[in-house]
Amino acid sequence: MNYKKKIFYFISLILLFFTTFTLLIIYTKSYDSLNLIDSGLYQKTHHGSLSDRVTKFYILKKNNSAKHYLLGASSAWTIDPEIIKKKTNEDAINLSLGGAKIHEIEKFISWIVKNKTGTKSVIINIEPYSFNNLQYSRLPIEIQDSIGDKLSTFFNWLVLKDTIKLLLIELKLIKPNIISNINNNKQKKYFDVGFRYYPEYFERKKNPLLKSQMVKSLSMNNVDFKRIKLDLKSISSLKRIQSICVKNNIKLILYFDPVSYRLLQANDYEYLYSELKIVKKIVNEIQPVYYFNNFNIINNDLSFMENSHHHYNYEAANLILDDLLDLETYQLMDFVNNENYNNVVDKIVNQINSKKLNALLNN
Amino acid sequence: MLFSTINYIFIFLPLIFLFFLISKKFSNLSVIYLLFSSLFFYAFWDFKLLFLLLFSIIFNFYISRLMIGNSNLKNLLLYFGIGVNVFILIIFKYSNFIIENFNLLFDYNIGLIYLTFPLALSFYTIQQVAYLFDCYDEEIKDVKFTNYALFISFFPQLISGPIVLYRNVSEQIANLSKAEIDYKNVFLGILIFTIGLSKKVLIADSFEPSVQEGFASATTINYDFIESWLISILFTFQIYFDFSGYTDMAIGSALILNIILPINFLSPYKSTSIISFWQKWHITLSNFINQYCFNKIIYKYKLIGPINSKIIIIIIMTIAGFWHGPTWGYIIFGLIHGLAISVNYFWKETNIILNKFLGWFLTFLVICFAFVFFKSSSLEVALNISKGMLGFNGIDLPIIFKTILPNFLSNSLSFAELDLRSFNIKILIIFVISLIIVFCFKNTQSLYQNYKYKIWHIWLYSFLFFISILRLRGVEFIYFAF
Repeated sequence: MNYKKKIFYFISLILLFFTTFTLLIIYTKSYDSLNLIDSGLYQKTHHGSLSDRVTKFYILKKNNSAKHYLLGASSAWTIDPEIIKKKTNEDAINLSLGGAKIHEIEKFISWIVKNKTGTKSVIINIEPYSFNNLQYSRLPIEIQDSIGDKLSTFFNWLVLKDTIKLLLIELKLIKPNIISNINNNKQKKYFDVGFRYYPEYFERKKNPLLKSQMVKSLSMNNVDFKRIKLDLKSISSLKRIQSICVKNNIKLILYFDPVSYRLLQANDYEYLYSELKIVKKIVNEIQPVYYFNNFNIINNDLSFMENSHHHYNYEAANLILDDLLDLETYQLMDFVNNENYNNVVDKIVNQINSKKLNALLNN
Repeated sequence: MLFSTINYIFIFLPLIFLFFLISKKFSNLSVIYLLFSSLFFYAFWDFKLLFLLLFSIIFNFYISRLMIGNSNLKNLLLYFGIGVNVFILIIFKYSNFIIENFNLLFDYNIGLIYLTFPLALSFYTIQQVAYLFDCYDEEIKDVKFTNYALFISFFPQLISGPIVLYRNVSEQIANLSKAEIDYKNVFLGILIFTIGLSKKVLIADSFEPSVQEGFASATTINYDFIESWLISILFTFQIYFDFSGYTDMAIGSALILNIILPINFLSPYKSTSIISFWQKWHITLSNFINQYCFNKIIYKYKLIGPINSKIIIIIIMTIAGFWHGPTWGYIIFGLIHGLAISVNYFWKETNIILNKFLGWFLTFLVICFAFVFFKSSSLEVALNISKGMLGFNGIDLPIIFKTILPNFLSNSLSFAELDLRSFNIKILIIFVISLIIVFCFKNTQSLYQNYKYKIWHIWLYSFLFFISILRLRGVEFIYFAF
């Protein structure tokens, strides 16, 4: 056999693999977020799931009445959309994602604008990690806008895994996760609005000893924050989000998540320094933001945290939402625009008197 | 464009090959076609940086022309040429390192310079310096500009090597338009590219999260003996699969275009001495150091002698370490290797034969230890991990045993702090597979040299290719920034 033929066979085999894979995806419908959840492949939970982009897209697709959307990083998992509903009398859903990146949030908003009507507000929580370009988990194929992104999401290792699992469910070789969904009503209720269910929180609420153990552990464990490389594409992405909202008459609220004072202090206030640099860029180039890392009660009291320094619990989430829903008489946060940015930093610097943060005022 | 991206694999490389076939039909077009394709490939990163590459190519070509025709000014032209190349490298790569250390040493406050680092600068500088030396030694006589420009900018080797000498490719480039396409080369090129792709995507990229996490946490955690060795060994494997994977993809891409590039790896982790390691690791860099630095200095300044040569090895290896990047970590990496090579030469002079396994073990320890300085973001991190490796932070049991051992035992024992969330059973399996590949498999070079076709090769490699494509995540190569 000559080598031209071997090359031909090699390419033919690769095409055969891709064709077989494509047919299997179509047969199992592993490209369809609704099918991935309804078939029982993924549990109906937002608890630490690597497939949270799929589950969040699922609830977005299913919900046709929402007018308010919470988007952003996983810290906002504890924000209850029902509170927004009580205040506005309109439905809201929480679409926050683990390690959410700005470009992912943009894709969700673009999809909402194209496919849902009557959207009134979008509330986005931001943290420094939102601005790097590392991919934490895959986005659903349906939400990808370019053909290149759609293809690379389609021909993906995770899709292959889903396809095989769906086939195994179909062949009754493995059991789906549906049973566990039905059994836990509380979990289901939380799931439908994108609200994360933390069973540990409720256990701690019943048992103060558990609560004090968590606080003790948070006050003693190692806290590390490495300065992230600011991906400038994320800033452009945020600008596009703002212009989409302006164009579609949607109120856009940007706020920076509160974290514990120990994380703010870590590595010579590296977290605070990185975050305030991003705040400066946003208020100068995009729009004002609301800032929660001003050493308020949530930052200072570790019992507001949910087992980590950057995930707050339901009580803290309620306080945050109270402020964000009443922008006239807020209590904890600071309103930051390009005119008062220096004053806000000055106020924070006065509290901690850090040399590094002082440099922000002098630049 | 990275080699491990959809754009390169499915668009750039196939199109380049297709038009290369067409260009063969027109005399002398192949070289020009590949030259423009390579410049396009480079400009794809940053169009502005192309001008520096073009300047460098034109400058070195004309200096070499002047050198060939002017034996009186040869010396001056060589020093001038090397001086300008090194000056450009210092400005773009080392200026901030020099300023920072100057400020620190003399308590000054000179501002840093923010310049975009031109991709591949270190690699194409080395190739051009070697070319100037070859012209000086009258090994190169008459070269066409387009052939020279293609030799420097040829896209498979441009970004991270292998470092090519003109004599490696001169005939191949000169005959590019005339020679018939050898489809055996194209086929082997595809196989080697697939091996490289799977090394990078399936193995090296799988270690990436654990390595990142391990080195990032070293600022706050004092790793004990086991933890620090685990992190260092993981990186040692990651860099091998990443860099040799890259090189395989480069060699494979070039072979598809019927150009044979020099080998760069020859199962380096099987080495039983550090001298042998450098004959098998980044071979083209070692050859450059040997031929154009060590030999030139030794003979030029008549420094032949057992002590002199070892001192020069240490100095040259330290500079070679510094060539990788402007940090003290790279300098120490080179210094460790320089010292180890010198000790190895001293040992050889004693004529005592070391047990092979012991030799391998000691060599591997030095490699892992030196790589900690290579990888660490700061000296603080490197020192912290190396302290752990030397046992200064004690020896604890890995945390996994805490859940396995019975309570009465786990309460009385000390456990390590490290809890690499990304180091799970999957990574452990990949690690075991990579151990088998490194120590039991033949290297890619022997596949090429003694290739015997088997029908299952097509099945195996096409499947590997397919799986690798599904695993593409766009993780940069470690040598990408050099």
